[in-house]
Amino acid sequence: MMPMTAPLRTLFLSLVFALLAGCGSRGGVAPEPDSDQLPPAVEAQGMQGADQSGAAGQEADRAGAESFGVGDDGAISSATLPDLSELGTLVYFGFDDDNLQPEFRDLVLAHARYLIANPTQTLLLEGHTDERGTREYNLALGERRAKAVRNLLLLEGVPASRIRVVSYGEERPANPSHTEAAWDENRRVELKY
Amino acid sequence: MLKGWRMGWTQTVRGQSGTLRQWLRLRALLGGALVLLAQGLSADMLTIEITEGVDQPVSIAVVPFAGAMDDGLDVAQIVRNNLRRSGRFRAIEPEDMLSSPQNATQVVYRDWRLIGAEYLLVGVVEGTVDGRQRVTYELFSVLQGKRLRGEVLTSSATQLRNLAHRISDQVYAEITGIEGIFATRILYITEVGVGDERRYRLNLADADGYNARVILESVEPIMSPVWAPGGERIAYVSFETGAPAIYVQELSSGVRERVTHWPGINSAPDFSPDGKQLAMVLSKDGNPEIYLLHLESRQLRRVTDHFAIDTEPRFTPDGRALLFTSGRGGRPQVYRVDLASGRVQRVSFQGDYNARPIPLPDGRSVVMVHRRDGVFHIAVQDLERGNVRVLTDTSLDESPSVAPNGELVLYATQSRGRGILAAVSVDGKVKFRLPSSTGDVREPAWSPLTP
Repeated sequence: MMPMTAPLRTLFLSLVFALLAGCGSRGGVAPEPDSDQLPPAVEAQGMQGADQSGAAGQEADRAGAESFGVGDDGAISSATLPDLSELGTLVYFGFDDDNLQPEFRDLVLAHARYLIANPTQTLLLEGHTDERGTREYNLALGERRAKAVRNLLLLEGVPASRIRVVSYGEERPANPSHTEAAWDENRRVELKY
Repeated sequence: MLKGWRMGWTQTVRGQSGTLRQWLRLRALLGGALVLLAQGLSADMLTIEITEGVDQPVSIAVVPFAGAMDDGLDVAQIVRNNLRRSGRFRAIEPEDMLSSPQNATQVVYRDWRLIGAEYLLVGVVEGTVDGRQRVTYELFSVLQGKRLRGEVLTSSATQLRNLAHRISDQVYAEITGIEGIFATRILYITEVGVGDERRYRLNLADADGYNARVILESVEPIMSPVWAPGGERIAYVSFETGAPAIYVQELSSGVRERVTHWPGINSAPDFSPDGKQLAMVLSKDGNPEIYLLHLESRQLRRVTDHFAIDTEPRFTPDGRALLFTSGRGGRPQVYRVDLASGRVQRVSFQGDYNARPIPLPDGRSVVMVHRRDGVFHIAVQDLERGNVRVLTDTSLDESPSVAPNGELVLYATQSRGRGILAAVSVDGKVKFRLPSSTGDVREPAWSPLTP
């Protein structure tokens, strides 16, 4: 859709790097199952599946911060599983755009591997937009963004039954400011376990 | 008829970690309803500030009403404020008046010509033996030297404010020829607090901002409030279960019902003019499409079928078609679908973003969100000629709602980094803002006229 400007591309690339390196302090870290940062209703979901999440968390802990090869076609053993807390969980989008940018493919592929290696694990994809445009249209746009991420996960073999999509449109901004920089942060899909 | 949970005026949806276990137990008990009663919630109150009025406002003298004042409630002052806030009147202050007549026999027109009053309103408030209030008012044209109308109204003491609004409506209609809307109400969403303290509220208030109360409070977003014809029921979208669902609620009893909770989007409800159907957006079939739900038979009918986004349906006043927003042309534009034939026509052509269409009551024009030079404004388009007029000079304007007399548009905008409500007349001459005491305010919905 919209061609990305060079500074924007740099921003995205640096964000990806920061997230993959585990430096995404602003909500960029996959939350612990009982983290305070989780919105309460999602927390309630987490409570219902608390046993599963806990087990997966421990498994991930055992794997530690060991690096795992993105794009590695070999079978995945538990030893190569990523630590959830070190795996990026935010995918950003262009203005009024629901196409998954190439920069975020690897991040989504890593989640696909994690989900395939953890057959009981389920994933919530939250779609968000910036505040420009009407609220209802943005609700639809947020869903299309979340579904763009979902489609890649499905292509990689993750069963549809383990992925839930919720769009919040512009209702839950990551950054409440009314600036270009805030809008860049708010056009996102959050991957939540 | 509404089936569902009986609740008081105020409902709270909670999900804080401290109360989570109790809450889950309660949820199990209620079979999935995540709703608790709460007391003493104060609503986020709005005030009105006129920013632009007509060039030559009508001058009116509203003499302080003689007789009992209930808890300091000054009927004449409420009428004065209403007329002033309409942007079309200049209300003369009591200290500038030369006399204080209470009825026709005491009126000396010369006293009012001298101070430049074109119209004069006088009245009396009396307590009746059964504890109610009786208000008598009379309206005069000073220029013609003649009494225009008079009326005796009775109400309970608690409804005296509403009675003052009804008198304002009569005076406004008599002088301008336009139906008054002072006795109407508005719904609006507020967001207060940050992080774990963040709360979304659905509020109900009189059109002048008074009597504000919270209808629903939730830690999850609340969206898209809309009135049913008659003003007794409302519909809205709440994320309280972790996903959007559409609720219909009766205002007087608080009884509400969750009417749809399909997987995916359930949003943008709008009642048909006969109140029997609800237009809405569902993405259950993979893509946001517009549906009609017959509220009694529960029959669901799909109206649109396109891979692009279709949303924001609104019935035309005759109930035969829906206006809606679609991205099918590559950019959001306003379309119209005829409900009998299913034929879809594009309506908006000026600019690269036109959305959230709201037809005016006469059906001849549509108010919408319009982007010009990258800025979102409220605009009105003539449906026959196609010309578009931008009404607002604010930015990030959205969620227009039209007053039942078709004269004013209430909308949401930004001021100093906060969401506020503002209003503009359809002729563009009157502008006012409704700042809130707290939080971000959004998504206003103007009630229909109530008998």
